[in-house]
Amino acid sequence: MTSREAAVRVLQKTEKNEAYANSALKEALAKAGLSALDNAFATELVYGVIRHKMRIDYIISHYSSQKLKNLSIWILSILRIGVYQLLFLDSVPSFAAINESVKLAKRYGHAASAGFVNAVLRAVSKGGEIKIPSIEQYYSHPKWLVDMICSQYPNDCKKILAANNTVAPITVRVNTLKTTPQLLCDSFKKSGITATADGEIITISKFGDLSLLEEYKNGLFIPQDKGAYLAAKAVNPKPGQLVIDVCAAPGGKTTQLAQMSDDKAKVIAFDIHPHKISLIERNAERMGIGSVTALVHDAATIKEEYVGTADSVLADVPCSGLGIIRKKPDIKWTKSPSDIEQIIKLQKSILAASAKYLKKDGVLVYSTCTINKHENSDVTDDFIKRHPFEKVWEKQLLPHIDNCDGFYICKLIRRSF
Amino acid sequence: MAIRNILKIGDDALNKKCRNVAKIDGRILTLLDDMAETMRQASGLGLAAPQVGVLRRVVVIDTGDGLIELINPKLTETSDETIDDIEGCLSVPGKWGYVVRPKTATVRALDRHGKEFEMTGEGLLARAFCHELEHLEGNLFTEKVSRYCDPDEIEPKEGSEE
Ligand SMILES: [Zn+2]
Repeated sequence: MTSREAAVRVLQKTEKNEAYANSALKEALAKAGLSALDNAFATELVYGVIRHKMRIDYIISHYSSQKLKNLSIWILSILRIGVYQLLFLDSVPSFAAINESVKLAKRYGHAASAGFVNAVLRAVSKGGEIKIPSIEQYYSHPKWLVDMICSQYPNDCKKILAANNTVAPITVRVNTLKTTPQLLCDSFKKSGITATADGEIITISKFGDLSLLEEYKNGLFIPQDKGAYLAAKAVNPKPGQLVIDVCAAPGGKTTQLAQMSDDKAKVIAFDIHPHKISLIERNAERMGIGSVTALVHDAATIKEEYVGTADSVLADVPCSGLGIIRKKPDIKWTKSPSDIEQIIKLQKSILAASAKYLKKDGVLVYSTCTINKHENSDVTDDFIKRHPFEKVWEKQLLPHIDNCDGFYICKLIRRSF
Repeated sequence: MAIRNILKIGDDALNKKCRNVAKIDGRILTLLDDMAETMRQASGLGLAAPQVGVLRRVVVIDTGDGLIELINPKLTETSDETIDDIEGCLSVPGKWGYVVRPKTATVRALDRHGKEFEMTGEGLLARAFCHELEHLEGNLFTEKVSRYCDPDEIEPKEGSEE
C-alpha cells in the first residue's frame, strides 16, 4: 500500500464517521508498514485534506462536471488528496499528484472514474486557485463555528480561523524529577532531533510515535502542550498537600502536579474510563512518580470520602476541543452546537462536584481546551453566582498569540475578608 | 437586619483607627446582625466594622464553622510558624495576593453579651483574625501583599520582577 492509498482509506473512514482521524491513521499506518517518510506524507495528506476540506470541495465543484454529492466517498477522497497536493503542497510535482490519483481511482472506482479524476485534476492544475466566495469555505470552518468565533472574537476572528489550519508544534514536558530541560535537549540533539526549551516545555522536531524514543522509555518526558502545562501550573501544589485531578487521563497534568510538589503531595487522579486508569498509572511509573493514586470515578458525581479534604482541585473538564483544531482538525466536522449544549451541562456538574472536595481554604482550577466562551467564562461566572467562590484570575490562551492550544484557565478561591 | 454597603479602597473610613465599643447596646447588636448578613451576601469569610463605615472595634467571621462575633478583639498570641498564601478583601474587589500570616493566632474579645472569651484559630481562621484586626487599625491587606495573583502567576512576563 502506498502512502496516498493509506490516506484515502483513512479519509474514507472519517468521512463516513466511522473513526476519528488520529486513530484511523494510526491503525492504517500500522497495517501499511511504510517508511517513516511515507508515514509523514500520508499524515500530511489526511490532516491537510481535513483542514482544508470545504475549500478543496469548492475547488472540485468548480472544475467538476458532476455534483459532489453524486460522487462516491472513495472518488471524492481521491480527488481531495489530489487537489490538496496540487494547490497546497509545493513539494509534489503536478504530474505525480495527478497520475497517482488516477491509479487510485482505477482501483477504487470503475473505468469512468479514472477518466473523471484525470479530467478534474488536470483542470485544477491548469486553472489553479480560484476566488473562494465565503469566509466559511476559505477557512474551511462550518458556518456555525465561524459565526461563533466571529461573534466572540470580532477582532481576531480571521486570525483564529487561519491559525486553526496551521500545524501545531510538537511539545513535551520535562520530567524534572529525573532530568533538566538542558540535559534533555542535549540528549534529543544527539539523536538528531531539534529541541528548544521554554522552561519545562520543549519543542521538538521529531515526527511520529514519541513513545519509541529512549528518553520516553526512561521517563524523562511526557508529551504535553504548553496550555495544559500552564493549567496544571496554576494549581501550584506543595509537599504534603492533597490534590485531586478530577478528569486526569492520560496523566500529563497529573504527573506534573506530582512533579511540582517534588513527588511529595498526595495526588488523586480520577477518570471515568477504567482502561485509562492504567494509562495514568503507567505514565506515573515510567516517570518514577510515587505520589499518584488513580481511581475510576465519574467527575460529575461526588466521591464522598474526599469531600472537604483537598488543598486544591484541578477540573480540566471535557469540552468541545475548539482550542485544539490544529491537532485534531476533524473536530470542525464532528462537533455540533447541540453537542456543546450537552457538554456545558456536564462541565457545570463537574465544577460543582469538584468544589465539594476542597477544604475551606482550598484552591480550585477550572480548565478546558476550547476557546468557546460559553464553556469557559460563562461556566465559571455561573459557578460563582451559585457558590461562595471568587475568580482570582482567568486567562484565555489562543493559538495565534500564545502558540499553544487554546486553553482556558480559571483559578477560584473563597478567601475574601 | 439589613445589608450594608461595603466601602471600597480609597474610602477614608478604611484608613482610620477604630475606637473600642464602650457599651454593647442595641445599635451594636444591630451592627453585628447587619455585618453578618452583609458578609454572607458578599460571600465573604469575614468583615470588619470600618468596611461598612462604622469606626468601632467590631468584627464578624465565618470560615465555614459558624459565625464568630468579636467585640474589642486583641491578638494575644501568634505562632512563629507562618503560611504564605492567597487572600483577598471585600473592600478591594478583583485583587488577590500572597500574604504571609502566622499559622495560628489567638484573639481575646467580648461576645455580644459582654462576656470575655479567647479563641485560637489555625490556617484560614488565623488569617481571618489577622486580616480583620488590621482593618480595625486602618490598614488594608494590600500593604502586606508580596505578589499579586494574576495570569502572570503561571507565566511571568520576561523581565518582570520575581
Ligand atoms: Zn478586608
